[in-house]
Amino acid sequence: MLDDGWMAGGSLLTYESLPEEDQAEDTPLAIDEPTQEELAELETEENIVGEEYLTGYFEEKPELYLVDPQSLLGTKEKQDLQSFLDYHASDSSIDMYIYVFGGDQQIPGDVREEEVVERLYSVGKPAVVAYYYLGAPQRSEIYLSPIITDAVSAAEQRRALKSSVVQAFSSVNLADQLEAFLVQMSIRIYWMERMTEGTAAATKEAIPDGEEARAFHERMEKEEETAALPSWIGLVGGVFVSLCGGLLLVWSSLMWWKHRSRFLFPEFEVEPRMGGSHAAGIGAVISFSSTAVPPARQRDQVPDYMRRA
Amino acid sequence: MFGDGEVKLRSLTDAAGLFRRKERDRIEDAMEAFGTSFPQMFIAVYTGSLGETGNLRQFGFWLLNRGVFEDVDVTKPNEGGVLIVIDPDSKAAGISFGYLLDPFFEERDTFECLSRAHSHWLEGRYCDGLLKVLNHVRTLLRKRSRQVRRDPERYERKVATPVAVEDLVKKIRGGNIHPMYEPLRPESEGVEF
Repeated sequence: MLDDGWMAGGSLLTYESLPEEDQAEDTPLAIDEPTQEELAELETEENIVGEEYLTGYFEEKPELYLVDPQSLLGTKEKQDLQSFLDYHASDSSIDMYIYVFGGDQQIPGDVREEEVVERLYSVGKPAVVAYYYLGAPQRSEIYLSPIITDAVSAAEQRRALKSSVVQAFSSVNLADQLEAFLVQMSIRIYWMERMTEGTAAATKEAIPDGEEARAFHERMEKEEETAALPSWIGLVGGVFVSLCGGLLLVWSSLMWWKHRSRFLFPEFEVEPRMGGSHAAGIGAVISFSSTAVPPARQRDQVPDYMRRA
Repeated sequence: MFGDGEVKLRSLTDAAGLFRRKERDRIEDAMEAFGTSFPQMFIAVYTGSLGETGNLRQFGFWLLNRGVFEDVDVTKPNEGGVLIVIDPDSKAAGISFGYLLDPFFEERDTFECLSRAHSHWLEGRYCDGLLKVLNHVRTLLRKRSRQVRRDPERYERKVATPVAVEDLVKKIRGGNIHPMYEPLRPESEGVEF
């Protein structure tokens, strides 16, 4: 306690308000106000996606895999990329949606990407959603449908994005960059598929990264070519399966017919022998006491008196 | 030696306890399938020790004549039975069969059937061996059935009652002479040496 009656924490023990402190006088900063030009420049620096496009981007699940309401890509490029994405969708159990933005564009703060993905991609076929910034692949982000988020770790998602970005930088052309990004992402989605099936657990750590991505990309492209063979392999396989099915059917019919067959014998009049009222058919007797001697040598011959006259 | 009365037993009588339950099921299935394929016939299996004095053939003959197989349909008399007897103590097995099979089954056929089981029985695998026997009996009878259809007389002749001697004499006296007993011709009587 001090002499003037103030004590530490005293304000907490009373209902009296704290004594007002002396307000320091505001000292104006000695700098100039921003000019109108500077303010305008500041606004344009933060190039936010126009509101008129937000509906096209985030309102509902897009019909096409390539989402570009701002038409940042040319028609031909768009068609090429779209057809690639269609092919990917037909070949993979995980779809890939690409939202294309300008390289310097910002998504408005009130749009939460996670919320969009959760709202639009929770049901139906699982998907990987990529926000791609034309000319600035390093800004790209990916989001996964909630259904596969657990199966694909965050680290793997980062690796997938990183390697796709590396691939994108292999080209100068903006559309080529996007194409390279998509191809690589498609490959990584293949591994994600495996992970969701639980089969890639062992190889997960072996997935190449960074600089090794190119070699891996080439290898995977070869695998894709192999995967494209089913056009003729499928035909041969189909014929083979049909043939096997036909043979199986024939065999089954034969077995069924055999099983259903009845064999009847004529009943000839046989004179009873040796007082047997029902039977006198004396067959062979063999011994199976020795492994060294063949059955013929272990055969017990029927005595003559038991033979039919 | 084995008794005069009827003996009631099941078609699969495992007195020696050679088969496990699952094996019994497999054997019974095979026996049933045989009975379905050959509606006039049935298979019976007996396993047991006959003792030192027991004769497998005599026992088979006796059992097939005296046995009343409870689980066999009454429309199938013992004439259509094929009895397989296995004596694990003396390590011997034999087959007996009823009169219905007399024309179609011979001793060498039964030996062929039993031979199929020989290697299995040597190793004590009685069930497998027995199934092999049953399978071969089926195969063989199927074959015989086809042969009988083509040439029934051939099999009928096998079991035809032999002509009695007195009948033969009557035939000779009546002028109906069998070529074998035909008297020598007059010209052959005067052969000069």
